[in-house]
Amino acid sequence: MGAWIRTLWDAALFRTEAYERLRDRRDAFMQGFFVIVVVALLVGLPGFVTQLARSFRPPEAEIADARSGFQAVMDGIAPFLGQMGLPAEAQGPILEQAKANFESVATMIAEIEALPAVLPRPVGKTLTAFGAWVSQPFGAAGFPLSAAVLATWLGYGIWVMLAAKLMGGRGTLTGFFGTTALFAVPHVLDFFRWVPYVGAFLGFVAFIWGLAIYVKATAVSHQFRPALGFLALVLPVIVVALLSILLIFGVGAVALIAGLAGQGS
Amino acid sequence: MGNRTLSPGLVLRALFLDSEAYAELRDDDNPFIEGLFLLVIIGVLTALLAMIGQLLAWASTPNLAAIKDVVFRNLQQMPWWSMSSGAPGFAEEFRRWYDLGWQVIPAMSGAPNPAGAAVNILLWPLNMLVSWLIYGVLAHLFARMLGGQGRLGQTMGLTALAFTPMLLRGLEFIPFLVIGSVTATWQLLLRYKAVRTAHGLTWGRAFWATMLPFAVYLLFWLILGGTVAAVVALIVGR
Repeated sequence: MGAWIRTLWDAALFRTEAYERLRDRRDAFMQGFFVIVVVALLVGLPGFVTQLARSFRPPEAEIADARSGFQAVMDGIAPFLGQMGLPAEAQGPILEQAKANFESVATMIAEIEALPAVLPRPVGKTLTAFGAWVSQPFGAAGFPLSAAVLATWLGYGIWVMLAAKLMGGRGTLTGFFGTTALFAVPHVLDFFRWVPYVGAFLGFVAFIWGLAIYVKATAVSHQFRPALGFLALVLPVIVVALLSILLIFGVGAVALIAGLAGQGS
Repeated sequence: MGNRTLSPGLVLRALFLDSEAYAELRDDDNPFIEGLFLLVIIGVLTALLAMIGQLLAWASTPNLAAIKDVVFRNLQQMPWWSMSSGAPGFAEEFRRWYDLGWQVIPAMSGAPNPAGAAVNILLWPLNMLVSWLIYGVLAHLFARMLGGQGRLGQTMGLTALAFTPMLLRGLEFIPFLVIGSVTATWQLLLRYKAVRTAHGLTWGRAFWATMLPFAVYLLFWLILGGTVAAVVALIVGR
């Protein structure tokens, strides 16, 4: 365990030997898989604990919290409605209706929470929170490599691997996926994403740091210069962007021709 | 019947892209039978485990019919309801769509369904077998066209190993766990590994032999869609 953590630390510090050692391991892919899973579970831990703690609170307390949050949003919206030119006498009914709708939804949730189930409520809530937590490694990343999840590691990795191979890379699947999984290491910083402002900043740092590790890992696994590793990383995004532009222009051109033909006839 | 190459260790090594696991099965005296056996085991085992998860999820969730009634009753208390309910036929029409929605949405949103999970004990292995047979034969044909040297039995045996990511679905014995689409991507990687090992192709040829069956699928669906559209247009045009 100590050696494993030392390898991850060395990788985070861009020490080439750490990447080479992992690349040459027969079980590199499995190692990569476990790096992603461990980091994802660690990052999801605060969410799990929070959800667990909340599930043991009475529903009324949760609804009271939601009500105060809703009221804060309403207080923020009122001046905005004024700025939009809505007269003060028209604002009242809109806000009243929104409040009435919120209260109906709150009542609905309280009634659903009170419905009986086969298992006692705390057991069910614990299972729900646990299921959501262990789903973390299997979740999706909003943007390629922006989170330590298996889908982006494999899904984006396939395209980078293909680009690297087309550029003459000599890496194996196991070596490539094993080393590129190290991009997840800085994402342990996402553990703090619940902290206002600081969490978002640390998330951004983790993303950039993770990308740099990915470039290094691609270069080492394919025995490239780092510049080629970078090119292999961005090539799939560039190709997708170019194809999207071509598609948009193509559809636009067809629509234009169809429009002109319609005018002519 | 010859020696049994398949073992839990080999399956695990194949899942994690170990080249030797693929080579061992390729050199087996009957890789096809080993592959067939593996798929049935994976399908039945994972479906059984997932059923445990579905049962636990079902036991943790209140009755859906009761939830449906609570939601409907509270919808009727909302301001928009009193504004809309004056319109003739609104209440009946709304109730009709509401009932229809509750038939569709729970199934689509993954609401606990132990009965459906029990049916999967049959459906999952069957689905995997059909998918394996079609993909394996197509991949073999393309691999041979690209200069591959493997036998059909070897291609089939090794492409069966590519179904090992489906074992992750066994984790669904944990209720409310969502595996997502990662198994499909993982499976694609293993299919490439399987085709390459079975036929001794270069990476580029193995890539095309792995991907071209999907082009055939796409073509098939396009032809089918086009035919259905043409038939519908013909019927409507009459």
